[in-house]
Amino acid sequence: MTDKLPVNPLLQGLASRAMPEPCSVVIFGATGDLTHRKLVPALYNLAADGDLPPGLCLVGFARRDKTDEVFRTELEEAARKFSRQTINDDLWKNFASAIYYHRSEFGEVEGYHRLRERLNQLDKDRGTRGNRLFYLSAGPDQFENILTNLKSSGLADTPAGSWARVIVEKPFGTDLTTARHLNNTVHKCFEEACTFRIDHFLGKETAQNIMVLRFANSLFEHLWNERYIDHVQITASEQLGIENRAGYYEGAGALRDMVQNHLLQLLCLIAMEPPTDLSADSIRDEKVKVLRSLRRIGRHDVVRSVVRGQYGDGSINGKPVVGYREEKNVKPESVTETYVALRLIIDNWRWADVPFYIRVGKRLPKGGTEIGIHFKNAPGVLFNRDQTGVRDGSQNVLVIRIQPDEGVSLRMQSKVPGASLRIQPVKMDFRYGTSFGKASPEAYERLLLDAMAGDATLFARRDEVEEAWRFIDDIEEGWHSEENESGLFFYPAGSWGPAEADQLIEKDGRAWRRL
Amino acid sequence: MTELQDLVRGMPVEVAQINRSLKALWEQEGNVLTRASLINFAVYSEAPDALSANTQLMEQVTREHACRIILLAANPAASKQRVRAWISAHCHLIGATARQVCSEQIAFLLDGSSPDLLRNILFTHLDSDLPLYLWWQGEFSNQIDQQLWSWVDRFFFDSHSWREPAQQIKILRGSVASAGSRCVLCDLNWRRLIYLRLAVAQLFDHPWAAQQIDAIRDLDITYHPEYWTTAVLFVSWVARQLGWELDEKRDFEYRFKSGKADAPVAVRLTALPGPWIGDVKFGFDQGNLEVKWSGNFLETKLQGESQLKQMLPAGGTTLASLVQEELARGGEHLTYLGALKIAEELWSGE
Repeated sequence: MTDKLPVNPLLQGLASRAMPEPCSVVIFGATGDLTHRKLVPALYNLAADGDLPPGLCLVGFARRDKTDEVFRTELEEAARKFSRQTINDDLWKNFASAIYYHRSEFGEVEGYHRLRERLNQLDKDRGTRGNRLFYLSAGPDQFENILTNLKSSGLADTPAGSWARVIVEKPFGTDLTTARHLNNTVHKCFEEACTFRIDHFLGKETAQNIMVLRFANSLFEHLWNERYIDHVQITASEQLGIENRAGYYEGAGALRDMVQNHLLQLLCLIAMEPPTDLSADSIRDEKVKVLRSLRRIGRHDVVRSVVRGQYGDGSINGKPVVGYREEKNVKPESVTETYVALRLIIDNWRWADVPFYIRVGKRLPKGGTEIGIHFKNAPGVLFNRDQTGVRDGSQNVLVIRIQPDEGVSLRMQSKVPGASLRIQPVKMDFRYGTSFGKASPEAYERLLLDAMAGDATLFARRDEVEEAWRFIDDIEEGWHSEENESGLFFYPAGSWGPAEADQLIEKDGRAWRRL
Repeated sequence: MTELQDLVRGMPVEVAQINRSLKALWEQEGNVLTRASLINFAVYSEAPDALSANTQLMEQVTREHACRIILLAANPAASKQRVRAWISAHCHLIGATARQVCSEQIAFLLDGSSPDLLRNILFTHLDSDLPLYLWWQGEFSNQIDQQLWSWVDRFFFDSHSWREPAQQIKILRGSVASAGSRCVLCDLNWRRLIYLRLAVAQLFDHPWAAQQIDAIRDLDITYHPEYWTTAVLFVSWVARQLGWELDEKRDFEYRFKSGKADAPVAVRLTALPGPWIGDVKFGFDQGNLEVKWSGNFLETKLQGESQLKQMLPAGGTTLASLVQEELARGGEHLTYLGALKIAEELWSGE
C-alpha cells in the first residue's frame, strides 16, 4: 500500500512541460515489430537525453519463452539499428538493467497474477511508486483478453497516490461497432482519463506546430475561413507498397488504415476553432466538433465524393514493382483499396462551401505528407492573365509539410524584374532542418513521455475515435452497396493515382498540388 | 578556393560596407549555401585574443543554433578610438543533403570602447526583427546604456568567472533595473548545474527518498577549486526549493534552518581537483543519496531502506555545450532568480 507521496519541490522549475513520473512500463506483445523498431529505441533516446525518470523499468509481456538476458540482447540489436542516436555502451547497460521479460499467454490469468507480484517487487527495488503504464502492442484481437485479465488480476486498480494507464495502438476497431465495443472494454478497466489512444502523427513536431502556427500568430486567423480560403488539400503519399502487412491490410484498406485516424486528425487541427485553453480536453473538444460537422457521405454521394484505387504493376525509382494483387498473401481478386481520394465538406460557419480534398495512396511517385491551404484568387482587376502572365489558379498557397523536409512555405505572386510587368509565383520558405539545428525527438518519444506525465493532449479521445468511425462507416457502406460495387479504379505503381481521382478535383475547377 | 573559404578565416571589410559585403557574399554563394538566422547573438569580451577563441566557440554553437553572430573584442584602455571589422560564416552540412547551412559572423575589434560605440556598432549590424542575445564575457563593467538594454532580450554571463560575484550581481542588477530592462538573465554557471539538478530531483522522486526530503541532516559537496561559485549556486538551489533559511555561515560550511526538521542542516563544501562538482551527498538518519560525476555520466546512488543505482547523462562540459543548452531553453529562469538571492548572501564576505 503506497501512501500519497509529498510533492517533490526539487522538480519545480526544471522543465517547461509536465515531468514523467517513475513507473513500470509493461508492453504486451513485446516481441513484435513495434517494440523493436519504435518503442525501445524511443525509450533509450529518452534515457540518453536524461528525460526518463531513473525509477523507470520496462517489462515485456509475450508468449515466447526467453530470459531477461536474451530479451535485452534482442532489444539492444534493435536499438542499435533504429535509434536516432548512437548507442553508448555504458548507458545501454544501465538502461537495459531495468528491462525484464515476462512470459505468459495473453489469456492466462495466472500470468497476470505473477506479473502483479513482479511489479510489486519492482516497486520496492526500483521505486516505481505503484505507477503502471500498460502498452497494448499486441494484435487487436487480443485486447479484450488482456484488458479483462488486467482488471481481474487487480493490475488495473491502484492505491491512492499511484496510477495505472493504458496505451492503445491503432487500429481502434475496424468500424463504429467494433470501436465502441473496444472502448467499452477498455472502460471496464480504465477510465477515459487513464486511456491513451496513440496516433503517432500527433506526436510529429510539424503536426504539433499547426496549432502554434494558427494561434500564436495573429496573421493567419483572420484569413482562416471561407471568405479567404478556396479549398484545402491534405495528401499522404507513400512510395512503399504494403510490405509484409497483407494480413492486416487486406481487411483494412487505405480508408481505414490512414484516413480514419491520421488524416482526419490533421483535418481537425486545420479546421478546429481556437480552444479556450491548452488542456487536453479543451483541445479535443474542438476537434470533435469538426468531426461532428463533417457532411456525411452516404451511398448516393459516395460516387461523387470518393474515389477508390488499387495499384497495378509499374515502377518505383526506376525499378519494376508488382501490382497489389500480386503481393504476398494478397488475394488475386482483392478489392482492397490502396488509394483513396475524398472531397469533404465541413458544415459550419467557418468552412461553409470550402471543400477539403484528401488523398492517400501507396506506390505513388513520392513519399510525403503535407497540407495545402489554397487562398482565393485576388480580384483580376489590376493584373490580368493576358498582359502579365498571371494564370487562373496561381493562388496564394500556404503549405505545411508534415514529413519529410518539415516546414512551412507560402507561395505568393511577385513581379519579375525587368521592364515589362510580368508576374510569377515565388515561395517564402521556413524549414525545420535549417532553422532549428537540433533534431526533433521522434514522435514516439514525445508520446511516451506525455503518457508517463499524464498529458493526453496528443492522444485521441473516445468520442473523436467514434465520430471518425461514424463518418468512415457511411463511406464503407456506400462503397459496398449494390449500386456502387464496381467502384475500384486501378493505377500503375509510380503514377499519382487513378485518373478518376484527378477528375474528382478537376470537375470543381481545381487541381491536385504537385508534390 | 572559393571566396567563402577565405571568409571562414575572416575577410576584413570597411565597417561602413559590412552589410553590402554580406549581401554580395550570399548572392555569390546562394546556390550551394543557405543563410540561416534565428537570433542576433552578440558576444562582448575584453580578453586578448577573444576574437579567435570566440570564433572557434561559435563554430560549435552554430551547429545547433543558426544566428547572426556579432563578436565584439574591446580594448577600452586604448588611447585612440578605432574600429576594425571582419566578416565570415560558419557553415554546416544539414542531414543528407549537399546543402550547407550558414550562420554569418561579423567580428569587431574596438579600440577605446565606450557605451556609445558599443551601442552604435550593435544597432547598425543587428539582423532586423530578430531577438538580441548579448553575452558579456568576464567582469561586468557597466558599458551598456539604457537604450541598448532595452533591446537586449537575454543577457548571458558566467558568474563562475567573476572574482567578486556578489558585487558583480549587484552592479548587473542595478544596471538592468535603472534601464527598466526586462531582459532575462542567463547565467552559464547555473546552466552547468542542470543535469546535476535533474539527477538529484529525480532521485528524490523515489518513494523512500521522497519521505526523507524534510529530514535531510547534512549535505556534502566536493567541487573543483575554481568552481566554488557553482557549488554555492547548487546549495542555494537546494535551500530555496526546500525552504531552508541560512542560520550560520563559516568558511566553507553553512548551517540552514529547515522549518520542517528539528535539527539544522549542515552543508559542507570541500575543494578537490576534478569535475566542477564532483560529488553531492545528502545524508539522512538512516541512509544517504549521492550523485557522483563519473566520466560522461552521473552515478546516482540511494542507500537506506531502499537501494538504487542509476546512471544519468551529465551533459556537455565545454563552454560551447553550455551555451547550446542555454540557447535551447526559454523562460524567465525564475528558479535561478530565487536561488540567486541566497547565493548572493553566501557569496558575499568570502
